[in-house]
Amino acid sequence: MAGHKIKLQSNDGDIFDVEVEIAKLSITIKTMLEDLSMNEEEIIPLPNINSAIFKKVIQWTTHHKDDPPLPPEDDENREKNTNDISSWDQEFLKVDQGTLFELILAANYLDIKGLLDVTCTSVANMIKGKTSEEIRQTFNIKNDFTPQEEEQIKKENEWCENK
Amino acid sequence: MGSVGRKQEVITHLTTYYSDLTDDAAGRIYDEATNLYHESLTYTNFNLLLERDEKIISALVTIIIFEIDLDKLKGLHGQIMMFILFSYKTIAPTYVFVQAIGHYVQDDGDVIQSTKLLRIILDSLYDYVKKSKIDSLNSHSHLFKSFNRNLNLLEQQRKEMLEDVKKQEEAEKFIESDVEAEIKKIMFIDYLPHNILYHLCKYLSFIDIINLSKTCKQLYILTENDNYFWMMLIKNHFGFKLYKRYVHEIFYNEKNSDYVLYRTNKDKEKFEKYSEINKLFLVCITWVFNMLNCKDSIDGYLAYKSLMKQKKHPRTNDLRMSLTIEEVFDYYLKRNNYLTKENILQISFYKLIYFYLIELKRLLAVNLFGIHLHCSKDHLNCINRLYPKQEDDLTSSIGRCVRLYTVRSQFLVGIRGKFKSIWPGIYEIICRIKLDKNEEYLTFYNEYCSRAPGSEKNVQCYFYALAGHGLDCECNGKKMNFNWFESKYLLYGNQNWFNETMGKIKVFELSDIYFGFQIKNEYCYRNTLLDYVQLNIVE
Repeated sequence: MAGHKIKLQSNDGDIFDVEVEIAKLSITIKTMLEDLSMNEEEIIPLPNINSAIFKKVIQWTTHHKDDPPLPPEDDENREKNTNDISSWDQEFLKVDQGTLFELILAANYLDIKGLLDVTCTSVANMIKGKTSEEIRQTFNIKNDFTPQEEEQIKKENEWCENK
Repeated sequence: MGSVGRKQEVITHLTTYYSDLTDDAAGRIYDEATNLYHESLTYTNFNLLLERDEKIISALVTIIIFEIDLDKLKGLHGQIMMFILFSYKTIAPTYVFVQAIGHYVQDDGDVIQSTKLLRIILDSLYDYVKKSKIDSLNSHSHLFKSFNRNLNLLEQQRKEMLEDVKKQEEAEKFIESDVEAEIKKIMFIDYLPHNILYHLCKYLSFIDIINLSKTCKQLYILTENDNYFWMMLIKNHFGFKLYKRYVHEIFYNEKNSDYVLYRTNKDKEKFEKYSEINKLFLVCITWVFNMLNCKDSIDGYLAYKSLMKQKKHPRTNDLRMSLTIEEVFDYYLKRNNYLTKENILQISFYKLIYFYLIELKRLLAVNLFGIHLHCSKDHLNCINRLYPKQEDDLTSSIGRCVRLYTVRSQFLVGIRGKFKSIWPGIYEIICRIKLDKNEEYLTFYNEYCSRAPGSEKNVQCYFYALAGHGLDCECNGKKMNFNWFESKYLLYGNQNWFNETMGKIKVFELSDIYFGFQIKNEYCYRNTLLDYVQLNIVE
């Protein structure tokens, strides 16, 4: 039933007509449609996602709708986790941190593994190879350790840092 | 303002202007003026006021200022006031009035109220002037000067106030936009749901995770010594099978008995006896015994014999993978100087497991040993020699690698090594290899091949690995033969390294893994260069 559409509503009230096949990339929506046998005319509310973010999610899923399915969760290929992001995704993820953060939450809520993977990879790439202080600066994290505590933690990790 | 405050105000104005007046007298005047005020509101003819005492009239205009209804533009108060200002026989009440107004405007601080008062007074003035057909206001210049001054004052106050409001608005806007920008900028990484953080960390190296955990308390608590975090990380990073194996199975499985492993004292004695008798002979002619370093230690030999027996006459079909917590601690205490029996207990056990799993298990070829078949002092005439050569290669992982080829008529040289203390599991063995056709020996190769037709395609490599308490893994000429060499050479040439999988090896209990690599029948022409050998845990 290509081209068949369903209605999805963001938490700020906007209603989106989305192709079923694209919407079903979200396991959460797929489950709603299949397990709860929701009427396809019904508007499905997405209480955790605003329309700006949902637009981005639709943009991503539309682009990736023909991707081969990801290997199952416990595949042996797991070791081969790479931090490579395709150039389309890289362009797609050129957003401020707040948006990236919301995309992660949306991907998590909608259960879209590919999007969660690529957003988490993007954040991981922002962390990789940085010192604690550099990570703090990148994400505006406040250092709430006392110097004594910092000294203590440094000592705790000597075994795996100074091998 | 309460009536007491107002009375005091009027008294002050009176005593300021009439310096000979006492407070008591002024108080009495105020009382009389108050009566007159109420009385005057009923007047139809204000001329009656002209007969009253000047001081009482002065008090009256002051009282009126306080009594004016500021929200009612036209009223009797204004008329009475104007009548007094324009018609009273002396100027005194006007002065008191002007002072009271000034005081009202300057001290009260309420610009809106003050403006309203002045507006009412001006309106009343306008009406009065219009009605009374007054031609000249010259004689009341002081009155207008006072208005002017007060208006200027109010204008200034208003400006200041507006500026303040503007500044405040700007500040608010600034703060708002600042907060907004900050919110947009901040990922709140420290507030990510835990499952997302676990997911995220699988893309990070161990050191990256440690550095992340050191940024703030929230993240530190969530990661550092939290068993669950490290368990999830093992699951996310290595998959459910390995998670199950390392978090649940191996620590609950009992060790395999010595009997099923052919490791009883009786077995050992038997093997040792056999070894003593045949050692010299065996070591010299058998590549695998050299690879197991049998001339220096019996361990490799025992492992090999046990495994061969298990394969030939298995005493069980049920070998388990097993590891004890003590073995884990021991593993770390032996190899890590920072760890002691005390502080190792402070570390999350699953962090120790994760650390083992992600640790690179790699041996560099330059640190391996040549298989040296000049085996023992009693065997000096052995023709076997060591020929692996080290050479510089900037494209290898440390800039140096090993070149392998077999010289002349013997095939027993090669390279060997040992991975120490490998935990149970299934590992893939990878060799990083580069191929080269050694022009130096081309003539030799051609000569040899012409003497023995068909031998030009005889080249083969051989890899063998054996786990002390596990199985073995072999990769022989069936795979690594002439065709293999040529196809890889076509693909990678003599400039590029590639990873070749030698196979998988299964380890049941904490083991050393012995391995060796050789190339033969290549007449020195087809050489293999080795960068490193690596174990990757797969299951």
